[in-house]
Amino acid sequence: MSRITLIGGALLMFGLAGGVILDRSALIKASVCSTEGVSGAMPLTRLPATLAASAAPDADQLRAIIREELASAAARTPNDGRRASQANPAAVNSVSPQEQHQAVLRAESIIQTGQWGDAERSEFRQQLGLMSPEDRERVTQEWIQGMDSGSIKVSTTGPML
Amino acid sequence: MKKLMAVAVLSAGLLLESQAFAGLSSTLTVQVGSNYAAGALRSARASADTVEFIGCTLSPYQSSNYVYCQATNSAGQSYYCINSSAPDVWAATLASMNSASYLYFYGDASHHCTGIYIEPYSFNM
Repeated sequence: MSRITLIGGALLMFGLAGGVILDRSALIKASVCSTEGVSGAMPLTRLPATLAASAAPDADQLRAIIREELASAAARTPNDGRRASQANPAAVNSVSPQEQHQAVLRAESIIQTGQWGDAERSEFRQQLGLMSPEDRERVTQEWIQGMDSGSIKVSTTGPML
Repeated sequence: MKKLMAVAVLSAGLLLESQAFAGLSSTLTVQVGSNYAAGALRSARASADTVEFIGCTLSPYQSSNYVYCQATNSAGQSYYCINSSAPDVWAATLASMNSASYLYFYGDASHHCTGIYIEPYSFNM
């Protein structure tokens, strides 16, 4: 998606930059014609150096403009969710570190009881929702080990988790 | 005469109803292996025993999809697996499940889900 956007943006900028340069070129030619009274296009070599440089649709210039525009466009794009979440992790995870820690302790204590009924399942799932992804993975592994080793006695009526 | 009419209407109704549910119908039971499980939701629910089931739980926790799938066959054997950071496409797949879905999921020996797929066919309904 972003690649397509970038390519599209590049093509758009290429067109815009080309259009700007062509417009400038046309304006310069027009001004030259009006000030010197010469009809038709005057060779750019007869223009002042600064004008000639800005008027010529040089490929390197065009590339530089496109690079500049792409860079500024890339700097403007951090509006997608991923970048926003990186910039402000608190917006994604509103649970305080203390609450996360308590959730881990509570979930581990449920595992350690060795009893696994519907009530334990329900509370365990609630605690999982308060944890960081890393803690969630680790506690889940502890639960799986308990299940595999048989240290947890299952009495749920449906899914175990 | 009225009784005869009533019987005729009732018979016609029953015939139409049976025709409405005609077509291929699956009676596959839930299959459980050492690292996979599969089964149709409807046939699992309609099974004669009281233990057979199959399904998945999707919990879109903060910044990750937590997926838990479990199936139990008529013999009471279960397989379950978990993926605590399932890709979004899994969430979309699970969200599209319905009563016509045949669900298949698999994982590794440590119960880490590595794949799921569903087949919503008419014969599963």
